[in-house]
Amino acid sequence: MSISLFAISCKNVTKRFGSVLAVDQVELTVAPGEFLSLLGPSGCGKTTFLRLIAGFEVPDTGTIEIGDVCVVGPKRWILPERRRVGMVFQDYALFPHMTVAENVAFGVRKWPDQRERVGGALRLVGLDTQRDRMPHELSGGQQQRVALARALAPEPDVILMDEPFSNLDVALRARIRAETREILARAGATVIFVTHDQEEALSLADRVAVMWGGRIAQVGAPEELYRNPTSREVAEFVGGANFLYAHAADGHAQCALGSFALNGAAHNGELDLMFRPEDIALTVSPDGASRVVDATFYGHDSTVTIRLDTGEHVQVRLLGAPLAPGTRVHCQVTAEPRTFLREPQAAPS
Amino acid sequence: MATSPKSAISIALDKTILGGRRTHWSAGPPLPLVAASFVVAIGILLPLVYLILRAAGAGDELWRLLLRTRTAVILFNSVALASAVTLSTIVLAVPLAWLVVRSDLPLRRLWTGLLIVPLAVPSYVGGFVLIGALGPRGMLQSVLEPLGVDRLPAIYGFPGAWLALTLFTYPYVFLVVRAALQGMDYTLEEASRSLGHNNWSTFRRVTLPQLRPAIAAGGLLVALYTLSDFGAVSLLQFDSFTRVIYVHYQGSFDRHLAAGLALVLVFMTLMILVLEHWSRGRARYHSGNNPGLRPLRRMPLGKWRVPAILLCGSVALFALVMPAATVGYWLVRSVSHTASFTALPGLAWNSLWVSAAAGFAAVVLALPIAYLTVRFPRRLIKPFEYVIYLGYGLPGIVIALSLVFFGANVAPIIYQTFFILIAAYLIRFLPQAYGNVRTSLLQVDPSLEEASRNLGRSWHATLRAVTLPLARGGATAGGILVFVTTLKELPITLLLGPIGFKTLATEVWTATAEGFFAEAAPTIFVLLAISMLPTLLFAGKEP
Repeated sequence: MSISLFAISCKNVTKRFGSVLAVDQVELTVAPGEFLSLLGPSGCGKTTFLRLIAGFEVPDTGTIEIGDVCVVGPKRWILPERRRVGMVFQDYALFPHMTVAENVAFGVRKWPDQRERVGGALRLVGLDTQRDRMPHELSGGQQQRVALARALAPEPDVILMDEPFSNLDVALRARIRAETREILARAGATVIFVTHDQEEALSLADRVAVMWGGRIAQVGAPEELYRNPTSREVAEFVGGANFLYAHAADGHAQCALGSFALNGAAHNGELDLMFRPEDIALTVSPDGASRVVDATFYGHDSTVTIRLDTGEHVQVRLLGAPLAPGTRVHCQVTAEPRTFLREPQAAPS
Repeated sequence: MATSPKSAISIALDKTILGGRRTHWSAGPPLPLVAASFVVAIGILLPLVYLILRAAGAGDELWRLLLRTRTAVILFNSVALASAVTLSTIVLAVPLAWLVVRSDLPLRRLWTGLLIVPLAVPSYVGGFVLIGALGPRGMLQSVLEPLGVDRLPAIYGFPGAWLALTLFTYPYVFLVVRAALQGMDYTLEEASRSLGHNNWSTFRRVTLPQLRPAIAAGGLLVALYTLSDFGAVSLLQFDSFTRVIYVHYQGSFDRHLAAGLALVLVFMTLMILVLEHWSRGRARYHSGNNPGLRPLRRMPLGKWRVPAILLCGSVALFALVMPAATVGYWLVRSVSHTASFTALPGLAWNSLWVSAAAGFAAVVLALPIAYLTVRFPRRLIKPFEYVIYLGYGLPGIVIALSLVFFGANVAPIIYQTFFILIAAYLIRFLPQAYGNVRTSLLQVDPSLEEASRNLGRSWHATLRAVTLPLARGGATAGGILVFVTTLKELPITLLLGPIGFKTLATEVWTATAEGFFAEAAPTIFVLLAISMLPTLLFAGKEP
């Protein structure tokens, strides 16, 4: 590991494909040993950004430093094979003509301690008994761990992972995620991890960077990001979000669900307040001002859509079974809302 | 956005990425591969350019020669033959293909196999079959002679050439149309039936329009083959371009005319090639449909069952049984000629080693350009690909002639050596190796190469450790394909072989031309025995 304060530092990185701006002036620093998740919808540029770090694409502008080495910058270009960056590909990219052990040995060939490294990496991922199998003989989860072992064997400064769990069955995914997280923590690796799945990002990462339209919209710890999104896009992308019209005066904002104290800069006039679906509690009552209009049952929880007396709709998450449509309810807010400036199109419905 | 000097290339790279293909050569294509591609391209172009320059050097005299009525006659002959053969192969092959794919014809798999086999018969063997079976002193006449028949209708000229080429090229159309029928979305036909159209109306309005690109592609392939064919027309003495070019070359009194005629022929074949390319592009566009998961419902033939079997049977009779019977008949008669057997091992050895050398060299030379086209923007590499595909449009006789000119006048050191012979094979057959190598490289996932780079290997180490091992199967197939086609090749070997160098192919041609059918038969037997299996293995893959 490098002794500098950061494992990766990207400054002003821009990449254009024809007329499409795939990565737009991205600034990002990752600390050594940190597990950073790059979260964004498909087509937001997150995979391109990963490929820029690995050296599979050339940025139009900007510099990228890995450890204390500048790998891309003005008049500077380090070939992908010299970057000491490990990558776990979305489809794993295991060499189909080599055994598990040969795959893992590929990056440490002719190293004096090749045997120990291959053995160590395979033990780390728990596949030392499978070393002579061919990749196609393994399950999806095992293939993913071979890819991980192969990337870890040369002890790279950074591990890049491009949607490594998207090819796994839903049933397997949670277990493999946890195992992977543990393996990487034990290896002490610095990780940048690309995903479009907010649950995956929030549950695994030390920090999450939300990418939107080629830009980094917000970087922060998972809870911070969920609680205090700085933009509507981030708010909606990391979880369910209800926006309600509010009128602010004297440090308070009045909306359909009540009055809330405004912290920080005082604001008068129109606002939007954001409530998470689990921050609204319902009480069934025949004289409730609100009414259930739609309900979806998911098993351990369910979502109901409530029509408020203002005509606005909110989504509310309930544990267990939903309420039948038509049920009259009282709504009570259980957490501080987040304030956003009003956008013209979000008028009360 | 920075405007650095690399922007031209990087914009082109970016375009490709947007086109769905990924590239990871951040610093552009590796120079050694580009250099190798240049060398190959120049090697292909040089003789042809020289031929054009020579013809142009003849100036007014050439025009005087070309504008004679004789040229018009040859042109007419060639066009007439190509059109007639194309038309008859389509008429023959489309019903056959439909029968084996979509009807309840009995023994469909067997018929399919039998109907593809004639593809393995080289055109000069087709010529041998027609002359040896139907010609004067042929098999049929000697059978009929005791019955008082001493004269058969003339087989030489147009009828013989047309028949021979039809019988042994219809499988091209058959294969393409069969593939199209198999890939067709037949729910469209069901939709048509549900909208009130009967079987025939559905075939005419729905099936046939969908087959049109495939028919066009197959037909153009046949036209191209006919125009560049030398073996059948020369043996059956039909004055199309290739035969006249050869006669003028042999006569050596005016080689300029041979060069001029060769250029006219090249122009015609290139036009056909452009047509073919265009139609194939459309064919691909049309055939992307999913044929569905349900088993195909076959059309019951009913009262047409017997006529259908008769049609398949008679095609097999003429294209398969007649050649086998003719070769067998003359083989039996050759047993007394021990001379025709003693030469065989030498001929076979000559054929084998030249073909193996051509096959190996073709794969090695195809690799750099194939690799560049697969991993880099097509816009930059496309010109190389066009140069490679030129071989498709150049009839063997033209390539041979241009190399004769080039060798005799510019590079006498290589003239009449194996080097120039193999170079000519390569110009002609490189597209075959290229197609296979390219396909096999396309199947190597680019992320495997990225993984290798990412694990510390350079581009050439990656090529050795990952790409080539994974593409080996396809590359070998390409090499075998070139080997087999070289084995059967005739005009290039005739014109460019070192003095006294004979192969199985040239021996068949010489013996047949001189009427020594009993000497040709064992040679044909060996030739077909070597080439039959690989040819048929590739039948499904060839365009």
